Amino acid sequence: MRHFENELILAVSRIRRKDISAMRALYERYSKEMLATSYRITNDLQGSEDILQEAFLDAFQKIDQLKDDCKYGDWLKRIVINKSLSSIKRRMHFKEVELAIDVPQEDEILPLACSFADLQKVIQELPEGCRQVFSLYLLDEYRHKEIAELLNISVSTSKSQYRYALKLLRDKLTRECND
Amino acid sequence: MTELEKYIADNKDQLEPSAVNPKIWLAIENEVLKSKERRKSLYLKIVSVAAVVLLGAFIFRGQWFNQSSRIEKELIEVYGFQSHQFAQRVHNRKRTLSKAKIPSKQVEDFEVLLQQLKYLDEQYLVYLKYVEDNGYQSFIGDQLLNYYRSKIDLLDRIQQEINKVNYYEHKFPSNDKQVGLPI
Repeated sequence: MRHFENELILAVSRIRRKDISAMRALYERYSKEMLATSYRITNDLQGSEDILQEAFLDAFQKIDQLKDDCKYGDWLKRIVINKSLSSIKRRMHFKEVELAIDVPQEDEILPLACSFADLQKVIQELPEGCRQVFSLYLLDEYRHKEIAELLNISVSTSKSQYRYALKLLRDKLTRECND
Repeated sequence: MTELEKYIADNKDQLEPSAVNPKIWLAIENEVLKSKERRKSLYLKIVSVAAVVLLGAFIFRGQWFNQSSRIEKELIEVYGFQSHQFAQRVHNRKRTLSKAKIPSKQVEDFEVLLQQLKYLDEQYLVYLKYVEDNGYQSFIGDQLLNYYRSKIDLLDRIQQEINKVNYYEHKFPSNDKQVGLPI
């Protein structure tokens, strides 16, 4: 971990000197993860590719705004998420859901019979708002407080949207696997 | 965390796009190079303007400088007019630099430094020509001494940049062809 941090700090200092091989090294390191993050938010691969390009260029050109070199990945991800959210702002809405959605905690039957492709499809088919909360919380490991700030919603809305997403997922996966 | 959440979180790699389109990096690289080029051309313009101003200052000083300077004495008494000690130092540094290799893609980063080196050498020829035409004068001695000092500083700076580039190249190998600099 320490070694990786040192390498990262070195690479960032080289990017400050506009060294393109360091830019390439960090692009190789982060591009796939960032594309996935953007794609989960926008549900549009082509759009996410454009966002990825813009985000990396911004991150290279505005590198002096990065306060902690060790946090390059978090900083870049925040740029990607903000750009992704901006791109879909007009169509983003949150369906009102009840706060107390029943999500079973035990005796859960895992939909292992479904392929990852089916799982991905089911996630993509989630309503936009709850899909974003679901992705940011479970896959990008943001906390509800951070998600609430990013999406400009309340913490309780973030939590309820997440639970709603889980319920929909479970229902859809059960149906897919039984078909 | 339920089993379903754990299952999805553990397998999130499987849910990502399988590869990133290589065109994205090409577009980024292209944009970065373009902006580098824009910055470099601005830098070259500034250097050119500074060179013209310096040249003007030298000529102005040459017309009005009419007293024997400390530098002149230093040149004649300590180093002799040939300034052979400075010349030797320049020669030693150039010999070391001519053996240095850097990745080919980094050569363009040295363009401005090499440009300055070229400018200095052109100035040197101008001074020699002046001495040839007008005989030795004190301000020329001053400029020759400055020339050697500037050149040694510049060669040292180039050496430092080469060391830096090779240090990072060692850390993050680019596998580019290794080439020498036209020193």
